[in-house]
Amino acid sequence: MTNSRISAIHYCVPRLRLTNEELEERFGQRQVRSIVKMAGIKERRIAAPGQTAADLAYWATRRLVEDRKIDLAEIDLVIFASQTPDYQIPATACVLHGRLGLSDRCAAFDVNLGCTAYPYSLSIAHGLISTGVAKKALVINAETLTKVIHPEDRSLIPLHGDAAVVSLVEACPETSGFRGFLLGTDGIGYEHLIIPASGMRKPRTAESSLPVADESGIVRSQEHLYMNGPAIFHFSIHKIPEVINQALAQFNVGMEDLDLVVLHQANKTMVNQIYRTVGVPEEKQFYFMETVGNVSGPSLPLTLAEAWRQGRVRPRSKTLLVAFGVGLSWGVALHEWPEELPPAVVGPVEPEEEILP
Amino acid sequence: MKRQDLRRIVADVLEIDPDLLAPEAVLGEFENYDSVTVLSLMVELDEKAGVRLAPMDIAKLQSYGDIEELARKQGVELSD
Repeated sequence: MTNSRISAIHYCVPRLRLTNEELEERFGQRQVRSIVKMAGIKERRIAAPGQTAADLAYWATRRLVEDRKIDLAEIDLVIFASQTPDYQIPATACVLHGRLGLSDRCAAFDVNLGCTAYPYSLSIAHGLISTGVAKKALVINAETLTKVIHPEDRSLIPLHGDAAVVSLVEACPETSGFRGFLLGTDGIGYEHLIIPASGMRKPRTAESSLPVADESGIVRSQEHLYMNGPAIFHFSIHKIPEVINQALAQFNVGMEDLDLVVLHQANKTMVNQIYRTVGVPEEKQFYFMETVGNVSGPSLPLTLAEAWRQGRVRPRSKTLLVAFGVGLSWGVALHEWPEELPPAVVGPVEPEEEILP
Repeated sequence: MKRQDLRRIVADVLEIDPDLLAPEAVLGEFENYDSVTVLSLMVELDEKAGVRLAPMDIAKLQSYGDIEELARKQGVELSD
């Protein structure tokens, strides 16, 4: 069977910035400082009204295609992984397919996953490539989570930003590429990270749109994102180290075989704690959330893209990619880079057109 | 572990004088005790005291004494 590998990544973040100073004015200094201290975030990029995850994905893809001089006719698979798509029907992957002018022999579909979307979407692309269904895939992870957070929710607004990332995944010889995937779910915890009135189970009504303050004084409606912070935190710092150790055993590698361990950038305290528990040496750690925040599904590939841009991805090295969150779910992928490692895509990371509120 | 060390861990998270943490001290009355500091407490208690604060425990935490009680239940001996 053919293997597959990541041959290029590029990302796009909105132009609008939301700084801690602006948040302090809105929510008060004490509240914001406490979150910022824990999360390690200084500013977030916020999609403008009318600007969607697919718009950011379009710009990231355009630039990746130009940088790598890709013949669009060769793209035979587009996976758009997002929980903030353009429409419920049709799949946003189809919209992007048309907008990018891709071939009619290209499969395009969406994957509804949040923080864990990268390992899952990579594994789907890998499965389709290694079985000969596709050869050259665009794996797109894009979210505008800030559009589903209530503007008065002082617990979530400071944490999240918007972004889109595209990874070019191609067929390759067995000498490099993916070395394994571990995917898992704990569906009992589905209510810990949820937009209650967002589908057929709880249709939107006049009542569901009303903002309500919870017992901590945090304001949101049933149509906005809710997170049970302690439950998510507990799951992340206790379950994820176990999952990483399971993955290393399954892939038959030790920490000494890895050059880089990249985690979903949920918040800095959580990432620190997972690194510490697993025993990831400092030189194998990489952080990138201070200037973008937690961007959900795109977080892991964006961090990998930055690691590559900053020279932390090296030929013949192995990178462990770890994501966890909504579902609850988790995913781990092990990727070995080729001897002839292409340079990182270094173009602009903001959209070309100016969209301001 | 020493009782004062556990008290120090909690006091550092709440940014208060450890002497304020009498067993009957109500956590919710400290200005810094909120949904965010609870998450920091989860991390600090686990890492420095080996005490796991589960989400269901958090709802039951009323006073500082409840944290000592939780530590004891998890086999952490507190000496004076």
